[in-house]
Amino acid sequence: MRAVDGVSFDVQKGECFGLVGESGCGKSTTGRCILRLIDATAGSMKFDGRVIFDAEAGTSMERQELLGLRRDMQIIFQDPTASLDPHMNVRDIVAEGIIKHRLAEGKAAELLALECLELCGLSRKNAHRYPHEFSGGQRQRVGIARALALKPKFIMADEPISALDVSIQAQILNLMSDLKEQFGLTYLFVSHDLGTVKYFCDHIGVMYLGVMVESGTASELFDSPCHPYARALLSSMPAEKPGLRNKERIRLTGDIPSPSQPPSGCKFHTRCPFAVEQCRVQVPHLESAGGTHQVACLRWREII
Amino acid sequence: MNTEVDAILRIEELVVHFGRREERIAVINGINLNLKKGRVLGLVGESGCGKSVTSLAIMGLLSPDDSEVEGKIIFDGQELTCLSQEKMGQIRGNSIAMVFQEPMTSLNPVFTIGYQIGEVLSLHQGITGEENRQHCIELLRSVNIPDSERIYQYYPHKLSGGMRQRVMIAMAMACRPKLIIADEPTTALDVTIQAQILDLFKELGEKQGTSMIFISHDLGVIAEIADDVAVMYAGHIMEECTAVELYDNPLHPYTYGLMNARRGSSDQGKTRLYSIPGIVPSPYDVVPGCPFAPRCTRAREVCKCEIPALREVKPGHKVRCWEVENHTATFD
Amino acid sequence: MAATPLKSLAPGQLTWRKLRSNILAMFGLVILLSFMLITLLAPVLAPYGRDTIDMARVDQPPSAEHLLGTDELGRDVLSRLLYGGQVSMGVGVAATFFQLIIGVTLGSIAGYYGSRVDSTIMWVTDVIMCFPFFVIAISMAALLGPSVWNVILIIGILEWTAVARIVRGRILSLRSLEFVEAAKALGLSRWEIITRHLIPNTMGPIIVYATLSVAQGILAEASLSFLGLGVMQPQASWGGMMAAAQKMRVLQNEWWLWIPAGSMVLTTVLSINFLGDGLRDALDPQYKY
Repeated sequence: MRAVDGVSFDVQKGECFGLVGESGCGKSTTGRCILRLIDATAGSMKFDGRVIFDAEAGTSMERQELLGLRRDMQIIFQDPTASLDPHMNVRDIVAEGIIKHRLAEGKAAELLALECLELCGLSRKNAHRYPHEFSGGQRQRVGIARALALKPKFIMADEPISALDVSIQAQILNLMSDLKEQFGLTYLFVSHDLGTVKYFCDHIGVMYLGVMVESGTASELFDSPCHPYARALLSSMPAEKPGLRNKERIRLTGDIPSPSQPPSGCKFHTRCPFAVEQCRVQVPHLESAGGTHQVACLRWREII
Repeated sequence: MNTEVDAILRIEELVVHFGRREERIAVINGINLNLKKGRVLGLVGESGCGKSVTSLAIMGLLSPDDSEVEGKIIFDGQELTCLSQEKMGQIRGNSIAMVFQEPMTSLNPVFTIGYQIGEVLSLHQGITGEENRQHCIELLRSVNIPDSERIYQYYPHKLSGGMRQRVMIAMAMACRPKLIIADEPTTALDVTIQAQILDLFKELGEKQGTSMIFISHDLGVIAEIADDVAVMYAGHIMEECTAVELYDNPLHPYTYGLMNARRGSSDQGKTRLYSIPGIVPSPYDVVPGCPFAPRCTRAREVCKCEIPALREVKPGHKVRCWEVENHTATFD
Repeated sequence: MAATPLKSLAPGQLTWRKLRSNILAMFGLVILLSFMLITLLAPVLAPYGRDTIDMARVDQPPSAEHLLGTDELGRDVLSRLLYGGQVSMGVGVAATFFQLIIGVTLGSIAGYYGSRVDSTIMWVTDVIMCFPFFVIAISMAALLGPSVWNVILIIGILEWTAVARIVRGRILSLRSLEFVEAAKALGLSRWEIITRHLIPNTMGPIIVYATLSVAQGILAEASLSFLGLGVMQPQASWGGMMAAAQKMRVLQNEWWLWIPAGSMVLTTVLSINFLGDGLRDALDPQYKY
């Protein structure tokens, strides 16, 4: 089963790149592949000019190099409860990475951990407490502190606010934004929530069943979406006010196909209101639609 | 706003306690609700606010072993709180039906779809055999499930989340209930599927005139489907009015905060998000005065001492806030 | 509202609190600790030596001089009971220790590494589990000869499979949780993840198992010694003392030779079981996964 089927994109330093899509689209898998938590079957990846892996050429990193990479690339998880070891207090959770990568030792490491926790809005008075004593939003702050402790250049955030209450989501997003400014971070923001991605990200890629169907800046994508799926996705967003209910919502029929049995040709053709015979046969590739805007659809020019 | 004649459901001073002795906590602190026939009431709030418990209290699904329900729940003229479990069982699934959040776990995995829908029909309406089967297939069709004859024989694991939720809705609609309570029915679904399900709810509501209580933490979803809205916080209702009014004129600081914390189409300027400070309170953290005071930027002395009452500050718009009462103006 | 104090407790303290409220478990714990204490202090508490023979007072019923009577060699039953407790409980604890080392290591490797490593280890586990304990135990005892260390060895080698499976199962379910992924993302090696994150979160089931396995060890030793395959004379053990009841005469007329020993086994095992049950309940809600 191909969870990700030929996805290519570039992330500029200091920007936030959003990966958007629904279940089975492969956005999480892509992110984890980038972090080397999952091994890619094919394809290559470069980070900061270095080749991280190249499945074709068979090159891969040595263990020591990989360890160094881990310091540069970190992850924030979706479930703040499951991402923290229930048997460790939060100070030790944050200090673990520091000690492993020998950024400090013993007391110095603990102090560094406390600093990170404070940067993320948690008082050092509570650092000896265990995860279950904190609220969901606070646990997510611990997760962010843990990632931050290694002073990474790149952070992949996998649905970092989906599991949080609405009033807390904004707090965490503000925190992530502040940290990005302060430390010059680059984010890969994986989410199913279009509103958040539109607000937070500079560039966005829309994925469907393992392929990227459209990508571009936030304004390119939201102002003039080209791909039928992207357009349907955008029109499915719930209204902002009762008066603004979308009467002309693009209604997609049927369910998302199972990733283990993907449709032939263009993966979206089974649900696409504009599909023709050719779509069943030919796989579309990303074409430029002006600027950084790219679309993978055989008929996109006609549809607009 | 509501005349008593029109109300299909009236909740009066509902109070729910969990636990015993030292661990007794109030999960719902005296709420009053009126649901007019044929309208959709949106119940908005975050975790721990008591919205789900409200729905369970209405359905009589709270266990008497560890919960205490006080107050009145009057449905279609009948007082529900004093009914026996048996009588309540005749109403549940029949005149009041519920749709839950987790479609993956609300269906019994060892029975077919047809069996589970049919169970509702045979239990409440005594329909059996071939008539039951035809009825079920018709119900599946009415919720836009394609190929309903085949799906009738399927087991739940073969269906996706969206399909299962449609089945749940079919089960809920089976006996043409007067009231449907939907507790976060789209939270676990993808955005495009969520849109389909919301459309389905709207369709069914219009076609059959069913009244609905729609519980959600998602203001977008509430904007899509609700006619009237009640905002809950720490077991109290903080604001209550029509949906249009709420989104145009949120008066309570909490509602205002929630509205502004959303990332919508208006903010591409990447300005800092408005965020409500502090954490969502748990039922264990009881404070004197207004429960929102610890997080409220407008809190004054009186807010910390005495809890304001829910008062109608504009026609059809009730708010529980000292500030609003005295100023009756929108916030900046 | 006084609910907050519960929240500031470490997982271990929380468990202790819950255990404290379980009367049976506390009862078991007290009894167990008392027995351990008195048997450890046998050299001090025992009125006579373990092997002190007094041919003049053979097979005597309980009296003021010998509170639990004497056996066929005139040895004081009470003294032998106390020294015997050292052996019986000692075997239980040592055998359990042995099982844990083998079982936790193999179980965690199987659970975490998965695929072929897992299949191989599980195959070995299944094979060993197939063998009926007593048949193999008796054969091994016959081969190796009866002694305390052999008994520990036999029980340890045959019984580690249960804890291996428990640990493996738990690790399988923990493995997919995000905090394990987080540890990977931090760069921890597989062994570091197992020892620092997975095993500490498996301590609950391991502790419960260990407690109950001590009871099993005591019973196993008692059975083997009863059959003459365990501890050899003049060493005392509760099972060995119960072996006297193989003779009809003893069984019918000389109750003090076997009932005290049997009661000690019964009480100890029962206490351990109460404690183990209490521990299982006390540790449970912590694992919300």
